[in-house]
Amino acid sequence: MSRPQSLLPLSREPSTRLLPWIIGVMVYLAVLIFAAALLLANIAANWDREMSAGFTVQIPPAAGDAPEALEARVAAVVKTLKEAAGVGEVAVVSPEVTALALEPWLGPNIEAHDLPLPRVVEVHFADRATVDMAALIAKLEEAAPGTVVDNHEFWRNQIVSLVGGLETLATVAIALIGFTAMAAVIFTTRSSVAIQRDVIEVLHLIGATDDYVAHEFQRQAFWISLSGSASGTVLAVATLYLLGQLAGNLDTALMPDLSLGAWQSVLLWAVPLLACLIATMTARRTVLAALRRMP
Amino acid sequence: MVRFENVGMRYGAGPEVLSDVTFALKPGSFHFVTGPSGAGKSSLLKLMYLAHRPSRGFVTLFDRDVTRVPRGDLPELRRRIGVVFQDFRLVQHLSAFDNVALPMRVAGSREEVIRKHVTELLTWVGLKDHLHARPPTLSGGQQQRVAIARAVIAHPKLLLADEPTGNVDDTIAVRLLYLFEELNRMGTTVVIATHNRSIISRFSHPIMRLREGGLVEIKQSAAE
Repeated sequence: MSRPQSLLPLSREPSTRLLPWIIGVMVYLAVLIFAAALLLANIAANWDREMSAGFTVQIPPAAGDAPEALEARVAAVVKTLKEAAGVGEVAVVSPEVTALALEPWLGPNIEAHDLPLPRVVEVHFADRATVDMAALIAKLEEAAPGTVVDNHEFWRNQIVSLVGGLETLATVAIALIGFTAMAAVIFTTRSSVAIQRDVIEVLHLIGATDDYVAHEFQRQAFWISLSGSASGTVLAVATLYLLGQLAGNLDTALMPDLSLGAWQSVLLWAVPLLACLIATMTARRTVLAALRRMP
Repeated sequence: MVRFENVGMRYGAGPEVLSDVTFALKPGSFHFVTGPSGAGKSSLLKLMYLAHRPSRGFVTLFDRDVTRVPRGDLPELRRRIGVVFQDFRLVQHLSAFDNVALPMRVAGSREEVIRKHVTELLTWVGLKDHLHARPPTLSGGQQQRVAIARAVIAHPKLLLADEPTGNVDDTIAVRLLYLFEELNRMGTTVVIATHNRSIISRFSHPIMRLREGGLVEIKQSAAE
């Protein structure tokens, strides 16, 4: 004897045939957007880590200063920094390197010593918690008046604000995708209930509970959504792989790290499973609501 | 087993199709319900198999007032009732086997028990060679036998049949009535709505006669 046939052959209905495609497209978009949000969060975290690891000190040349006087002020700044608690590596950026950094704006043929370029000192924290920035800034001002300390606060705030905005946008986009998919499931399930009304009535009259009927719908909704989710996920992973390959061909110095952590990969794979769960539960609730209106 | 007290029934806001119907059926009884078309036979059965609720009066089934029974309790009551619908109401995409197996599956019976009982019953009604046939490939008489097998497979306490002999010849009709009598002897209360006079006269059972929605008489047998 063959296994029992499906009581409600939803997958054969015209209204249901499109559902795996709709769910597949929704999952594809949701996985891509979610992956983009995770990568963005990683990049922002890396930038934040790098920028908060230290600060930059600029010593502008005073008018009429001889080069030796500027060097003496740089030496005073370095000495003050090295004596400060919590300060680790202190590196003086040579005028040539500073000029190189300005090359995109000033052109390639600039003579570093001909321009009143500030001297730059890059400082890394050894122990950020023990550094008293206000006191250090005061000491630096005393050692070399006119010294400017940039702790990257401005850039960090800008990035945090940008990333926050993009993450909100991603959340809204994923929520919209979720609502659209739910609406498609509700519409399809309602159509199926209407199409299968005669069979449902017979099931009720032979003693089937609403839960029994709803279980038939949710079982099939699960398999339909699983097939759609699987297709969408495979396509999304293939797309991410291709984008990764393209990014790998670019200059690594320009590109931030575009890999996901282990737990982030787990979260990404949870998207299709969550889509299945939402589709199944939506179908169940829709059917139960429709059945309650029947005699 | 079944008690109607001043029962009235209407579909939606339409006129009453049953008015002031009062009767009581004892457990293990066998009744024919007869009357001209539109007299209310099918509506009376619908109240008994809980497809509708009365618009007034009281209907008691298995000692429960079904006019007030919560919706959640209906499945348990319906499982005690077997119904042969006038239009069979077989599930078209399921095989004869799966149609007959439905009441047992709904009740949660094990597959091996279902397989044994359904095969036996379909063999008994002469459909051994049509276990896997779907209703559209069966004749009217064969579909009717599948419908009857589905109604009796779970050994109902109350068996209701709406024109069960409408699509079969007299030989098969008599055989089906013998099946109903056999179930009746085993304790099932049987109510058959029919206007087949030859069947009514051949079997000596009480007759409830309906006319224009009212129960006009209950005779103890056709010979009375």
